[in-house]
Amino acid sequence: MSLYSSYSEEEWLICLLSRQLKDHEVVAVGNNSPIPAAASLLARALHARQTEVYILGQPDWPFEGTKEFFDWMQRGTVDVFFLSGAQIDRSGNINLHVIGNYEAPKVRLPGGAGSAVVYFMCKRILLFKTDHTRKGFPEKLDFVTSVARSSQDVFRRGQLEGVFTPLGILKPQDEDHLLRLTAVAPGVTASEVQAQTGFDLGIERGDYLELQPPTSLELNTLRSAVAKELQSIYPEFAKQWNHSA
Amino acid sequence: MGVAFVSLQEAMQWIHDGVTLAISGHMDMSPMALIHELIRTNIQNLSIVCAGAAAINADLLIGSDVAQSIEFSQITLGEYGFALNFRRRFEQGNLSVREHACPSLAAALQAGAAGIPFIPVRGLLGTGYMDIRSDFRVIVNPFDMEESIAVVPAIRPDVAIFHAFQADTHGNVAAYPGHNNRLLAQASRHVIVSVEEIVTPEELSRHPGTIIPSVYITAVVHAPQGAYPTGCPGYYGIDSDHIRTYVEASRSEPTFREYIDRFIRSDAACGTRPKVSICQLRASGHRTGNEVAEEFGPIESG
Repeated sequence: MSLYSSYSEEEWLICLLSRQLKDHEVVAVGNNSPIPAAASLLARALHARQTEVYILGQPDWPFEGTKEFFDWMQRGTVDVFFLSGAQIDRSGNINLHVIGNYEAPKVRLPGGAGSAVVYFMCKRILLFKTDHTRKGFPEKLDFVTSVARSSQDVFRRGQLEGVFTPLGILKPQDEDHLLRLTAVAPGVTASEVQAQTGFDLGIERGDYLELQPPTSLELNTLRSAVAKELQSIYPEFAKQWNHSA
Repeated sequence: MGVAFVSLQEAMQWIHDGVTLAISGHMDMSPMALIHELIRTNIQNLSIVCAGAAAINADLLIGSDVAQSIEFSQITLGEYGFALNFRRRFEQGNLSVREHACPSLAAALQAGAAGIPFIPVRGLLGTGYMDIRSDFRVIVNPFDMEESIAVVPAIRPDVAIFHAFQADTHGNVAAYPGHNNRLLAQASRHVIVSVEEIVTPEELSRHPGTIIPSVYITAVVHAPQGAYPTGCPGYYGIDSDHIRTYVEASRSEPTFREYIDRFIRSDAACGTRPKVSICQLRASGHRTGNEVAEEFGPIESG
């Protein structure tokens, strides 16, 4: 069995997100986001060599604080931003605030960071989730930290590209803007994804692809060059590859 | 007005019960020496403003009862997980919060820095922020009647504290470029900066960090290791073992009180502080601010 025939869920998600990035895009990564950071660096190392990557916390930060970065982003310079949610609903709205009632929650989450502005202002929004469970994809959010769409009177350039998880890809459909299953991870069935999702994914339509597993090139690059680059930004996260390569 | 060179204890003269105190920093460059001193003085009921996504700096101010309310965009210990004092106090209804998005919080500080009362910001409309912040309003863009836009009030902290790399003998500061320190200094009435080193103006001018002119600075505290246990890039890294100790201690009120007693209030923890204001030039030994002033120009002391 080759070293590259086994990979972790995190490694899979990193490769899946990396494949979504196109060459020459400007990609930005926010707080507490080691997986998108790894995905961006992986894309730049492989198929998107002219991609510009800005990761909050990187040592060679060209902006004064986060303020200048957010100002720059709001001018429309950032093509891709990654966001996540403790809960994501069928419209792609996200909750990063609380589980339960806001006034007396079961779980207080860290908070929305930049998402209530970023979701509106960067062109392509990639939502990701490191676990895919019914609780994480409920019918209704406990708190609406940010929204996938806005009314006509609100300036918005940000569009939801899709939701990327260890089980597959959900994308908003043209007709109703609701999320449907468009691809499954290797070895995962559509009914398994539906069973882990709290709203209807439309799997009876049958129009979803099966994704290719990470290639040995992707895994090798991730575990060596990307892992090394990540050490200065996410040292704890990068430790998982200490004995690789 | 010149910049005062003061000790940690003397720096507390600007911070009184009930003031609005702004902080910067995350798991690096948090002003931990100043925060520890604040806890020792038993000042309470402060309204805290976090100048960006916050971490152990905010969590410690909450867990030690210094913070009565907190304005923030996100509080986590980064790679070390949830900020457990923040989480527990909020879940129990024992913390007053004012939540912002990172860009709108920065914009509100920008308004404070410019002395204007409010500022329009993108996003927010349609989100829960508009429900939990009664002071966030929606207006019609007066220059484009088709557009609705959110406005947020200016933030003008009474006092800001942050940790920086260097100050020169005039009180100009070289700060970490990642944390909105210059904006924070511009928005706040009084600004207290702890620094790793005091250097000559010539040396400061060569520093690659963010230069904040002394016009924005009230006081400088020479506090080597002043960000510890968070990291100070180029000087020392984060103390992961200590952070894990902190995380374990912050799982309950009694264990966190023990942590504060042991690592902040104990004689051993206090004994490392200089008792008088010391202005130390790198590689030139301990000297008082006045001694340095004779050589390098005026320094207002105390």
